[in-house]
Amino acid sequence: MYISKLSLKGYKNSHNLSEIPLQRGLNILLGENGCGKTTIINALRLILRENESYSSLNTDDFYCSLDKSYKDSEIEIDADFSELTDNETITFLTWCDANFNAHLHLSISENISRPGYFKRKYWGGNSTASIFEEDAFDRVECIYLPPLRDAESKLSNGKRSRLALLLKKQYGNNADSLVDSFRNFNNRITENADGQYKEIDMIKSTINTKIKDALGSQLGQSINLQFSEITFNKIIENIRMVFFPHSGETNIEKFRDLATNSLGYNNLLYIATVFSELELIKDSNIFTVLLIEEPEAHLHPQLQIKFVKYLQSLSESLSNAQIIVSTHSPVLASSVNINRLIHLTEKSDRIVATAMYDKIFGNTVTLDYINRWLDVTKSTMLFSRGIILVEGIAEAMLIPHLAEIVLKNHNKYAVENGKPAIGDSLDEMGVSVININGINFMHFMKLFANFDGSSGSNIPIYCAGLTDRDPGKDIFPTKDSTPTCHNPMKSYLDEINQNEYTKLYISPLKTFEYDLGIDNTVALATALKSIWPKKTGTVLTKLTKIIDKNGEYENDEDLSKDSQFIYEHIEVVGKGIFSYALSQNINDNFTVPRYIKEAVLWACGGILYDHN
Amino acid sequence: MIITEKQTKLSKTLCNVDDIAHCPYFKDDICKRFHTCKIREKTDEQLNYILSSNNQCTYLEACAGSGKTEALGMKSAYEICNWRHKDSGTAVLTFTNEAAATIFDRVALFYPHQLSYNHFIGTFTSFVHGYIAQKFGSAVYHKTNTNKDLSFRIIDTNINIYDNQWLNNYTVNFPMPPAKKIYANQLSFHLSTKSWHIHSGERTISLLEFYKQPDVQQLIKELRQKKKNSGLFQFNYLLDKVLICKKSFWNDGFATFEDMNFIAVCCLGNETIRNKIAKRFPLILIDECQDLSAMELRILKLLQQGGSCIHLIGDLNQAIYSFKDALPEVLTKHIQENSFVTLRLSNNFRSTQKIVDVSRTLQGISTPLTGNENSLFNENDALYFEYDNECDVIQCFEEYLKKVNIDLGAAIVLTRNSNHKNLLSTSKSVDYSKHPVIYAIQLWRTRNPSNQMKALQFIGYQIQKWSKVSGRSDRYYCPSELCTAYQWRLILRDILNDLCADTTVSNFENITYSSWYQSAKKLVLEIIYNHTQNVFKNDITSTASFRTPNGTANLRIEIITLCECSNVKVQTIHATKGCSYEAVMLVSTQNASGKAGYWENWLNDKQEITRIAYVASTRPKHLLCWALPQLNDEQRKKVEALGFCKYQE
Repeated sequence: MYISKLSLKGYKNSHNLSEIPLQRGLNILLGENGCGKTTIINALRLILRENESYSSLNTDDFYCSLDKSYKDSEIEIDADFSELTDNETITFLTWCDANFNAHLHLSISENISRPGYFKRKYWGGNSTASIFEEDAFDRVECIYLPPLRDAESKLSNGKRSRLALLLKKQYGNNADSLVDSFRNFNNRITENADGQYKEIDMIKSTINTKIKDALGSQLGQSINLQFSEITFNKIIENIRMVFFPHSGETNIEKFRDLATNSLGYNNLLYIATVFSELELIKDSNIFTVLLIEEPEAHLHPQLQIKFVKYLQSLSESLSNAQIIVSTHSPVLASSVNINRLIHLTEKSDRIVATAMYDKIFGNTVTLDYINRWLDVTKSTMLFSRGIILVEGIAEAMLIPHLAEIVLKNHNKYAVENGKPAIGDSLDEMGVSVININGINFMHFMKLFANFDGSSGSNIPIYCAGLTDRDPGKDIFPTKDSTPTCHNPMKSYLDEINQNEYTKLYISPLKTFEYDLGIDNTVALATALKSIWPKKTGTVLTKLTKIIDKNGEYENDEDLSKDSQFIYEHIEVVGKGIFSYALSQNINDNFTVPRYIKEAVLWACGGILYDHN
Repeated sequence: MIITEKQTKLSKTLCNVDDIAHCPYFKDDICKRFHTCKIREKTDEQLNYILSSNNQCTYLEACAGSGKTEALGMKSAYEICNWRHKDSGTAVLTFTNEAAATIFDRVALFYPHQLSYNHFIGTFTSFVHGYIAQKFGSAVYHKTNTNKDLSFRIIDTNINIYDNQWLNNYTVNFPMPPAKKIYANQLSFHLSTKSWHIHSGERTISLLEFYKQPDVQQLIKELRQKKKNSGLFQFNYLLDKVLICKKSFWNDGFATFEDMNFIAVCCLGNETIRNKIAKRFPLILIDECQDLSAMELRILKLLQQGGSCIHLIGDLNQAIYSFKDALPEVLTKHIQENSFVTLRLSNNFRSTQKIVDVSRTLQGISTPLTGNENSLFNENDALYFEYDNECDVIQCFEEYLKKVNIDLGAAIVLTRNSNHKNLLSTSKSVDYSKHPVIYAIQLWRTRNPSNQMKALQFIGYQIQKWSKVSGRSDRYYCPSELCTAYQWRLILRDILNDLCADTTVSNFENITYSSWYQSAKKLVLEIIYNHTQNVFKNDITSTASFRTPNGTANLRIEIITLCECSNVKVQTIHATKGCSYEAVMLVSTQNASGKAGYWENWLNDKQEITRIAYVASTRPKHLLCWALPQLNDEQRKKVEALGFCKYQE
């Protein structure tokens, strides 16, 4: 069996019902900060009664509105379990409905008479009045790995030591031999039979004599000196981990204290310890949920990739385990199959979860393409609040600069018209410009929209696609003309624009640079001139001429010819170098083409450009 | 297997003793663990049952006083100690919580661990509700609701209609005299006769009887004439309407206790559900099986089909619940048709041979039964008294008890029905639900802990009626969603203290109910509002109805007298089922109009009336007395033929 859905209400940032679909095996929860990753992990801990979840609940976990005027009085957490085996339907009978899917419910309310104390009510199936067997929790194991701030303390000795937990599990009911050997050691100390421990014995009798002298034999007590308390738990909790920085070392003298190890490696040692726990349950039929929060902490990218690959193989080998990982590492996100990703975002007081396995892309090419090309840079889109998909390096470099102009003008206009202003840069708005390197961004767009036969849920992030008209290699349209579009994306334009979160913006004339050039001949020519490799020649002369025209043309043909000239010579120096030079030359007088303005505002929260 | 082999088999499982003949715990007839050896004291018959197969359906016919609970308790312990599966278990089902607690204790004696969850020891009702009807019922009825919680709310058959106006939404839509409206909760389906029955108060009539009543028929006749259609309002039409009424009741999430059995049967009609529950509980032991209704037997039959092995333990001679459709002939048929084997417990450890013989003759039991209790009075173990006045004969009984040195507290007077019981009781029983506040105040003032607990319960009951937030009666109706049990008790205490402190409210001397309600209403509501306003979101007293109940307006307020009288207690037969007393006097009504309460019917009926008398007559250990109206010679012969001797002063 596995948890197929988690529902929350009244918990943390989820005032309205949030439903999170989950799948068998590995699940990766991702999204920007504050979207509810930790909320989900903690909700699972609570409902599955993970060991330390009891102490982790507090008053602030009840939803509270931003202005603090409203607070939920009840937390409801529900988990649905699917595909129970025949045996599991019997074990979890009291959690089942008539179709033998299991439902576990938890409602938490604060104890009115004792603030800070909480009432938890668990029930199963469809009826609170039916019998609920609490003992069935014994057949669910929930292992939680908190975000590692301090692996060392978790590995060192003490009550909360993970190592102790693991050793306890391993020993089970066979703790006697360990306890016996400690007891024997202690007995040898206290008996001092062969005089080996005479120092201890002397101190002991001295203290005892002093007690007797001071208090007399009636009121006195007697003491014993021994190694330690010899209960199993105490022994286990006193076992420490030490390390050596390379594999294969056996000489015990060379091992060192964990405090001298690096944070990242201690993190890994810790995780390895927990994974050893999984070995113990490998052969048992106990359903195990492994919750890992932000495993990327302190790990360099290669280790992150290795780690997540290991998790994936682990989830395949443990048929009865479900692994749920929360992350904001693009490295992690880009190194697993997209099907494993669950995107989270917070919208109108609830968590909106989009499971990628739920998405049908309409053709296998898209899925393969995304899996192949969702690299570290592109996967940042999954952590953004808005996205602008672009075709190449020029757009990627220039759009953030152009956006500043767009946003500045928008805010000015908004303030004048009594509307709320927004951030004044893409960074501030959490919007990423993603360079797809080509026009294949229809594949990525399918994550946010349904078109070309795709279906299923969409990631609710505003996504603008910025693409070229591509009227043909040798066609250089004049300003305000409407040349034929040969861009294959055009056929999806209407479908894409009908979706809630996506809009496609096609340049009105030819390409990004050409269209920029039509409106900004001076700026482009200046930039090109500054990086032109030769100090003299016809090109430089021509560029100077264009600059001298100061953007004033008698007819559109001349303008289009100059634009063509600039366009063709950008190719010579290279788009990247040119874009950098242009970005240095962009000022408030730069004219941003309308389709770019529209794209920027759309990505910044779905704003429609409505002024001229 | 000889008896020591059986004992050894048990001791190995229960006590970890490999050879009971050399038991390390047993010395000088005393067991170090249990005082007496629990295994050695079992009879061969009891051992046979305890060691009987757990995959052969078995009926254990256990005569009165045969140590049935003792045997069932050890059987449960034996099966649970031997159980090897983690996911499945034994269910031991009883009729009352007390009986379940007893079985639980017996199991705990031998089973050193906490009872693991795969086993279930509890009442039949909680099993059927918790594992079947509440769990899966929403798949049959009540499924359209959008709530997460699809539990059925259990509505009592005898719930007060006037306090529950919502029930008017669930009446049978059929022309009937206004006073005879049928509510969904009053209807139950008897599977034995496949007919609907209507319960109201202590009366139960079948739907057909109801239909044939003259006033109902008269109304139908008039309507037919008026509409000029003689085919209107046939009985089948009524049946359809009854079904519609019930279904809408269920679909809205309400059900009576009996309905839950029917819903359980519907659920078990689903083969998967049936098989899963049977797999979860491969062995089900049922105590007091003679009290199972036909519908409850159907549940067991379905579970048996699913693969459960059923053990029924009980005594058909003690079947006295025909009004809830528990009929011995249905059980007999069930046992015959579903390949049960029958085992017997025929040793009566409660009564003397004389008493056993008398009751055996009365009930016409052909198999031999042994009475193992020593006789104190020989022939006089069974006496009959003749009386002119019922109260005098009880006096007479008390004097006789004193003469023969039987403690009055260990004796009881039994009667068939509660009206007769009230007539015989010197201390009148009061219907507390009528004036809960008045009784609560009176009881609270006594400062006696057990009375004060009752007072808390009454005041809690009253507040629940007003707040409509239900709570458990054993927690003083605490609205557990809103506050904790102990907080609730403190609130109730404060209310009672305030009520008692108010001289107007707490004055009951020489005033009528109506004048009290008039003068106290405002004050009572105010006090309750003051203490409960923080618990309930809305003001519960603003809509509270608090007026003199019908028929009591001009009566003087009854003052509860609490002197513990030294008299023998009077009880109904049904209430003493399973109990033992030193001496019992069974009082007949004056004449045959008392039906089941009249002694000649005890002899002649040979059906339930006789069985009721049999249950009463098997309660005493040493002395059984029948109190009968003055008899003629022929009647005396009949009584003496049973083995009774006449009481001589």
